[in-house]
Amino acid sequence: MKIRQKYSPRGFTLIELMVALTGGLFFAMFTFMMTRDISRFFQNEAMLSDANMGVLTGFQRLRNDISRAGFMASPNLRFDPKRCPAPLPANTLNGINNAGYDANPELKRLALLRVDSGASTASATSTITPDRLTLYGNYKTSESFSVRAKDPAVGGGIGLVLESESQALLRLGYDQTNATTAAALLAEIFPANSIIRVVDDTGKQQYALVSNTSVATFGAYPAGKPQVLLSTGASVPSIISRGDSNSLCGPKANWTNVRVNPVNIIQYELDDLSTTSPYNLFYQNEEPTSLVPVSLVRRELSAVGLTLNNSEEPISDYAVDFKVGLIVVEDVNTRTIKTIPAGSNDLDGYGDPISATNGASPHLIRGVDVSLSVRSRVGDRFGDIDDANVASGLYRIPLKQASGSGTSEETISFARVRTLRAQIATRNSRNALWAY
Amino acid sequence: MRSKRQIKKTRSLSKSRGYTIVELLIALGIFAIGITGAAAMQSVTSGSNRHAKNLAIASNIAESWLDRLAIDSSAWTQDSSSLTLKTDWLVQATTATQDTWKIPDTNVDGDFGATFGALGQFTNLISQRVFCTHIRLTPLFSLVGVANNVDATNNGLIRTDVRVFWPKDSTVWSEGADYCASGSEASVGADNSAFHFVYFSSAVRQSVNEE
Repeated sequence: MKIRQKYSPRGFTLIELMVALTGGLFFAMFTFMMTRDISRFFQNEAMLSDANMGVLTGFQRLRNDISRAGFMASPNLRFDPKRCPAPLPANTLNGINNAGYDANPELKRLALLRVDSGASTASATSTITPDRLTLYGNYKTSESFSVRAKDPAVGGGIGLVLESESQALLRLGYDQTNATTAAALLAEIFPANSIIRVVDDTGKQQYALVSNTSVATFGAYPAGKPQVLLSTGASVPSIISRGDSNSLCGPKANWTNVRVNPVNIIQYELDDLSTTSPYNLFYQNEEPTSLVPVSLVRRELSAVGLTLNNSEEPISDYAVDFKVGLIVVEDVNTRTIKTIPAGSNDLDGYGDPISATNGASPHLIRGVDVSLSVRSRVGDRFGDIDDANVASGLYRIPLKQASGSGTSEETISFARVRTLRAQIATRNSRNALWAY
Repeated sequence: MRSKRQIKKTRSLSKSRGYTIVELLIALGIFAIGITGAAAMQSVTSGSNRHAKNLAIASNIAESWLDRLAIDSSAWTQDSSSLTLKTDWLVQATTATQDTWKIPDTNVDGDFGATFGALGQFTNLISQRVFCTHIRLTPLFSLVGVANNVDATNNGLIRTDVRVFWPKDSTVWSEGADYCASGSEASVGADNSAFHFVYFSSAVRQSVNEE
């Protein structure tokens, strides 16, 4: 009977309950903290993985564009012996030193590419000065288009009628039975104010600006007459025709001896798109930091250097740095190759062919040494790499929270940085060795 | 004297008093296994991210090497001595080490070679070295300037193979510490247990003379 009383299911005492609750509380706290840490860890790793993917995709786009620089365009308009008229005497601005080119400075500086050290529009911090890279070439298509004839009926410009059944147009999907899609395609290839290269039957090239494009009925086809209208006037480059001032190059009277292709100017730099529609939506729930949320931005420029409509796109978000060096032919006789590191003053010798004192030599560029750094979106480290030889921003970059101004872990965290670096050959200038 | 019924009830009641030490140890053991699993997952995730980073850097080093060999080929012209005298690395295709993996020399300017640091930058410092490169150059068509070259058609073509490798985290290379020393190419290339590898291939063509 005594035993029954002692072990009867009478319930727990207050002490037992308190002990059980306290134990349970500790266990719950431990489990909660552990789960929170594990969850945070995987979130951080996922963000780092995003940064890795961002730098990979951005770098791939950059690589493709750099490899294509100079495609169907002169690697140095100033020195190019294939220019019409030729730059004679050598190293002169003959033929491009006029108001038409002066009004279009990006066209006048036409070259393989140009590096502007520290010239990016924005940077993540004031201590980092990212570079800007400008590339020239036919980036819209892989084609050049044969001209059927100059349209004599056009006034106020030069109307070029392209071969509507050429393989080049057909490969791009030009359908002369559908005027709407045909007109859209032509406008996409040759947008207004873009640069067009005109190559004659002697291989000499000239450059002009597109005014607009149109299609008209020719024979049985509603879009059988694809037409590109070239601008004329004092503020645009003029085309030298065969026989003008005894010229041995240039289009003949009816322009049947020429082919044309678009030339695009592509620019890469770091810029802040967080207030630019529609990209601002991406940043609207952003946790405030002291870093500017810059992206690697790709845009297309007009001949005067303005951004073409809808051409701006962020390639890698949360960029930290963008550096560009060059691999060049140092000596045209021995063909010695050397690398010029990013930021070096020696880059000027291969930069702007017009403004440099003796004219730079971008046609001697054989490759680009480029590096791109991207950070994870949110900081997940509370200190920099403990190595005096490692510059800040190389592996980690501080994100100071806007809500605090102290130096405690709550107010300063570091985001991890992923960097890719590569040397990329510019194959379209491979054999250009013009000395001056 | 207690009846059998009483004794049975007493035993039954005593079982509900709490857990035995064995039960507690089993529960703790299961919990520990769970914790260990979560910790192991963290380690694997962190390692995967690190490996993805290294793989991306190594791929870019390999592509950089292919592009540097392409740039090198711009000095290989129809001039019969250009391949042997003017190129930094393609000259290897004319030697006895053609068609074999070799650690490439650093170029004349000293700005590009076999060894790279953690960020993919070229470095000569062993302390900064992480990635190492082997190249293999195989003549496919006739090479101007090469002994016993019968058909000098100025249309030379060299296959270029590049492999970039770096040590695995947990493995020590059994052959020695310097995995990027000349002469180690064959043993390193055969040791998949100690190194990660990426392989890239391309071809470079002889250039025409100056335009």
